[in-house]
Amino acid sequence: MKRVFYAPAIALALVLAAPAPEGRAADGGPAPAVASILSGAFRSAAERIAPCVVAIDVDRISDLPSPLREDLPKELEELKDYYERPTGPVSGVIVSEDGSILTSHYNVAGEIRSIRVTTGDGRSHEARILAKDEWDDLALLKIEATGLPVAAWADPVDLRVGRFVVAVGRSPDRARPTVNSGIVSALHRKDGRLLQTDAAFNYGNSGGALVDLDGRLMGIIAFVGHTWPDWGMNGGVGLAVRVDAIREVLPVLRRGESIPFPPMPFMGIEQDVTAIDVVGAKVLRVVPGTAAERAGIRAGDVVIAIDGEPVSDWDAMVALVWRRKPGQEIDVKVRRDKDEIPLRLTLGRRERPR
Amino acid sequence: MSTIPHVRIRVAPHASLLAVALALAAPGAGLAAADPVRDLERRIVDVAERASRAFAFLDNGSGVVVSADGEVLTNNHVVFGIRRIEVRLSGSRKFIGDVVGREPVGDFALLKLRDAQGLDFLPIGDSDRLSVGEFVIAIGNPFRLGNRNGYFPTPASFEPTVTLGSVTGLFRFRGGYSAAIQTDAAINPGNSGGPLVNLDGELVGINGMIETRFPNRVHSGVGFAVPSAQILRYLPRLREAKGGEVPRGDLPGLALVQEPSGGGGAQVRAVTPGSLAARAGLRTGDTIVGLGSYAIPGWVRFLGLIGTFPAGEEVSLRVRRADGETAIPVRLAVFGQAEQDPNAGYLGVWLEDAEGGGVKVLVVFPDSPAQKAGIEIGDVILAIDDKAIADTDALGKEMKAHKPGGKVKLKVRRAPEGAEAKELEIEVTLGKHPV
Repeated sequence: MKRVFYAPAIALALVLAAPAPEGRAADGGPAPAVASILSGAFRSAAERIAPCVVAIDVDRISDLPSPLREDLPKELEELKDYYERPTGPVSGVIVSEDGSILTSHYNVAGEIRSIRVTTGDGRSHEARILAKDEWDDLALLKIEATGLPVAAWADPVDLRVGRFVVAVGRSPDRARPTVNSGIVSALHRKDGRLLQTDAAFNYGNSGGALVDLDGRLMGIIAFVGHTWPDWGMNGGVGLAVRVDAIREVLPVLRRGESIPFPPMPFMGIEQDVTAIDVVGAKVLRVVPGTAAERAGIRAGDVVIAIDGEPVSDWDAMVALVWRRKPGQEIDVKVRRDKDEIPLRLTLGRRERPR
Repeated sequence: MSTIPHVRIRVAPHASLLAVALALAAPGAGLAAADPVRDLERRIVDVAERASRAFAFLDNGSGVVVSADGEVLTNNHVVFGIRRIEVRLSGSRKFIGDVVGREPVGDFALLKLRDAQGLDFLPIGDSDRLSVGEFVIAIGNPFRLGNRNGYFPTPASFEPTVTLGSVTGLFRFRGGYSAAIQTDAAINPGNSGGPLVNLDGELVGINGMIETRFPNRVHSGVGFAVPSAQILRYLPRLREAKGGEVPRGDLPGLALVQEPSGGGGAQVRAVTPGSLAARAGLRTGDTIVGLGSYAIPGWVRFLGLIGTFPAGEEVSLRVRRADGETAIPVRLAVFGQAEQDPNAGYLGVWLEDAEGGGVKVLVVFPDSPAQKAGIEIGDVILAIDDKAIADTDALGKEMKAHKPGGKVKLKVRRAPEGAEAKELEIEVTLGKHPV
């Protein structure tokens, strides 16, 4: 029953039904056919989006500060380069035929002298920044051109965990795309603004395209996180700004309006994750010099209400606090030993959130 | 999009092969040539969804629900030193989980969720049917990314990470992982205890270890999972362990020829008189070619597989001799204890030979003399009462000279991550071997 009418399908079935004791690759038959179908699907997706993916070279006067780099102890001096921005081009995606290009905000962060964009046809263009969205890690660039190939959008309802993805960047080689494949690992990171994938992202991928098997744009590859202590290069955890988040902010960016960080409140307490039977949010530590310390919250306190609304656990407290603004005064009720203590807290402002 | 009926396969592989073939060949299915890829994609999506529903968020790692009434498998190192833990399932439902049983060397543990019923769970598959190259899916919570998906947490906030890869090796021997599945599916800190799933949606392993180079504890393409076949053999005893440990099996008294045998089995170099191996009837010159249903190509595989059976389990060895093959039944002893003199002093640690001499502490048993004295995992014991210790054998011999209740002075090298190594002197009051 091998390879009669539906050879590729049956061949795939053989692989899926592993361990099949017969009809596998040993006879040189089915397995190569499947491999070529699968790689063909990735290839065709990459070929569709590749003309819309550009290389971006940024000439910087100065870069963002890298606190991790500055804080390194002397004996780890040699690791300093690890926390530096790598050299080489980054990527971007053309979203209008007259030269609007989306990329990661991080790619154009710092003080910039000039930006050059290399399109898939090999031409080099001077680019300017139209607008930035720091919150979503997006920036819209503009080059003077016409008749450019434009990326097609994926339908957000088609985003599913487990779907194949292809990541296309244009680095380190500006002339040829770099292609990596994987699946959607999660969809709702950062309040549903980011999706997560296991496709390999490295620094040059940042700002590049993440597409489905039809070559339609599912997301723009975000900051690849090489200044995070947790991971440096590809770690199997890649984040991309979702197509629906992009489409929401793109009209604003097109008008040339930048989107600043929203004001983010800050209390300055850390969670005691061992407090599993506790109703409320148990505080492990109070960060010195923060709003929480000034309000008189202490380690071991359990926050049981914010502005009179009961707090069942840590997440519930965070949700309540995030609906308020820096500078706002809130009522915090804590349980300390057997006492319930009402406190008044003036929310601080969170610096540059991740 | 094609109109191929959604194929869900839980039946035997041969039947599933037929089912896919039939589904694809159904008249009027409107099948395009490239659709096997879509079918594969749909299948990954489907398995990811089902496995995610059975996923368990633990404080420091992952777990997987394996029964409707709330049995959860995880790694022992995720619940190390913990009796009870908060567990969150999909939809952010919270449960209290009690540790029911653990195997500290093999690094797996069984939890039971209180007041749980009707839960989505993953059926436990047979890892012995995996092939190298087969697709597998890992689910986990790397870097705790799924704990809070943003700044406005909702009940839907808890979302695990799904990664795809393939089986890249089988029967890998790395420390306590003595017959592990190796995979290139992305596995990171936080994935520990999470399920490795085949494309039939069955649990085939518990992800627990990654190969990395200090200090970069990030997915390297080499991850290891405890195979489900091993866990299944322990499961009945884990259920009855009342929170304690299920001892790992061992066959002491065998010295094997430690050279490649070209796949010809494990050759017995010597048998210790009076040992379990001798009592079972093994002899110098025997070649062990089988253990239970497993073929034994060489000595490493044999040593690895022995540990995948619990102590007290009767296994059957297939042994080749000049006069043909014979089956030898043997009831396995407790790993790491049988060769110790029960009258000798007891530390309460698992050890391995350290690079450059000394012995490295892998596990410190709760409430053991070692724990009370402050010995930590990762410590390297360099000397006992100023006598240098070269390896675990030397330590075993040295311990025979010390009785329960006696005191020993250990010279220990401790190198916490990111800090300089220092040498400590720790005095331990030895205990009595728990039988």
